[in-house]
Amino acid sequence: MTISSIMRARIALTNVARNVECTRSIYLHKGPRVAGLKRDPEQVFVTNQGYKYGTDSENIKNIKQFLSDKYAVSDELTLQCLTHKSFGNGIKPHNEKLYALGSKLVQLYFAKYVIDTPNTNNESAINGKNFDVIGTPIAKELGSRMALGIFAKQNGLNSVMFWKSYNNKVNFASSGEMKVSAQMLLALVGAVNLVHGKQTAEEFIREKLLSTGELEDITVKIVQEAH
Amino acid sequence: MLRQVIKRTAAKNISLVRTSGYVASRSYHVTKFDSRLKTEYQLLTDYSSYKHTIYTHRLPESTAEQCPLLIALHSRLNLPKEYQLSTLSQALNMQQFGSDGLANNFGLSTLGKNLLSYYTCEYLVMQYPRLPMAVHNTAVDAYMGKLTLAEIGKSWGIEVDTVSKLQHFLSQEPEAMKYGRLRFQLEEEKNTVKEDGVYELSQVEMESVDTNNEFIPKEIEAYASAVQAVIGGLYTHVGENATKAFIHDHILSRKLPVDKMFQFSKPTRELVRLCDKLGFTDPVELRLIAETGRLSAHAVYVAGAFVGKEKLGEGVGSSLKEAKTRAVVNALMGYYLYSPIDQDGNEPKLPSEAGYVFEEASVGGGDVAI
Repeated sequence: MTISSIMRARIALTNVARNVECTRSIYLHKGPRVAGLKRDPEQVFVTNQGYKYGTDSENIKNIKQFLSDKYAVSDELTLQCLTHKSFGNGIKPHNEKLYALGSKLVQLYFAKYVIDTPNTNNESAINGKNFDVIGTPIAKELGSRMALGIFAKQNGLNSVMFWKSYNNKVNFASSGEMKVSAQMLLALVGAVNLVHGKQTAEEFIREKLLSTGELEDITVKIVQEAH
Repeated sequence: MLRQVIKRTAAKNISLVRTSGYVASRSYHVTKFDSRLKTEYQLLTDYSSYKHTIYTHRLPESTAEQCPLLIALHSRLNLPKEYQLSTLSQALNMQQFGSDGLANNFGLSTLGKNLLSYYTCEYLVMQYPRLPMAVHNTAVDAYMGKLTLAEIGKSWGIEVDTVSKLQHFLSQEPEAMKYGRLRFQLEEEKNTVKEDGVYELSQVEMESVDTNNEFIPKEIEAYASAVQAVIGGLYTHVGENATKAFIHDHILSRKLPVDKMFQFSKPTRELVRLCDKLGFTDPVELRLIAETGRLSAHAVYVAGAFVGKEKLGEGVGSSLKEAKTRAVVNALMGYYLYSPIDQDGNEPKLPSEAGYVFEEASVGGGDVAI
């Protein structure tokens, strides 16, 4: 063997080493959970009604329709709004931050909405704003999780949501569906706020939640039933 | 037998609870009217008709104008001239249920709190879109929590009204002076003799003591509510844009060390989960980059956290373990503290600003459970 052939062999060896790509082969477990085994995503990322996680038109159809073209957001963001942090232990993008932003905007908008009473005859009103409304049941329940949850259910917005209930056999409120639905709706407001800006998001609240009077009707029923 | 009886009565009580179409009221408590305010209204949704019928009135503007403290506060805060002194005086009144016959700051401070919450949240979400929720909430609290707002209120020069009626009379102080002070103490509290260095908790404060043996003094709460109410009053008189500018000037301009708010219990596990969430195909690896003096008393190791060929973070430590942990924490901080900038390298515009443009980067994916 000559020196040059040794050199050639070495170069060939290093080339081989360079071309080797490390690939992982992980066993994906199907069936019930076994500690330490990674579960097959095909099985895990499915809701208990059988909807598979993804931006399929079936999943996001209702929301797209509700948002209409004026307030449209991307499919990925719509799916993120529909995903609660309980889904797959938060491994998919979820709506927690969007919800935080949306809920602050809704609270603010409703506070501004209820005190905006230019023709009030309450002497304590300041500059045509009746502050006696703040703190009353109607003002507090208007953006509450119960009113928004029922609103989402009545409009079929929560028919596909990606979340995990601790017990999905109990009723709307106790299973957490009400809370998760309300959070989803608020996350939508947050998403519209991020995509289109605050002014459009406030138009969205006015047009989609208030102008039909549906949310106020629900809130009135909630307050009346409690008394 | 007794147990059966108890069970039966419990079952009866449950059936007595009225249920709406969806919801058993047991799992959700609907807000009730505060009977002490004797609120009257015509229709639930006729917001202009709501009125508390306990006797309260607003301070006449002419009386407020006689109070030098109010005028000083007004000009110190550089409030617009549309901002009435009577509203400013109302913002400083935390007396409940019209005990002094004047309208209090409850409505104003609730409105102010809503304004503060939104603008703080918006600012933080845009500034640090990937902040974990726990850190985000801590940051919100640091910007507009009660303790912070109380500090701001004190720095604005708001004084507490501790002068009792008798002292007021004896010192021949003008009547209007008290309308410029922060009013939250009842007359009998003012008359109690205070020992220096001894602080007696009131009944309300006793109830608010939590498991960590911490409580928020009423004075702090009063200061915080006054600051919120001043902001609410600003909205009432001059609208939202001026209020937003005020919040940015006074609250959000404070420097906040967000990077000091992190605490990781299982950083490596968190990084692995995070990379899984981000869909990286290669596994997370911790590698030794450099070392010196392994056999000496002062060894130094440099470790790196890698995914495939990408280095996510680097850490220096005096042991291998320390260097590894620092590398992982460095990688996590680099991800969480990401702050987007626009094309010119400036801070991005906020959704409430004109000319705001949406960037994908301002949507965070949320935290992972570890």
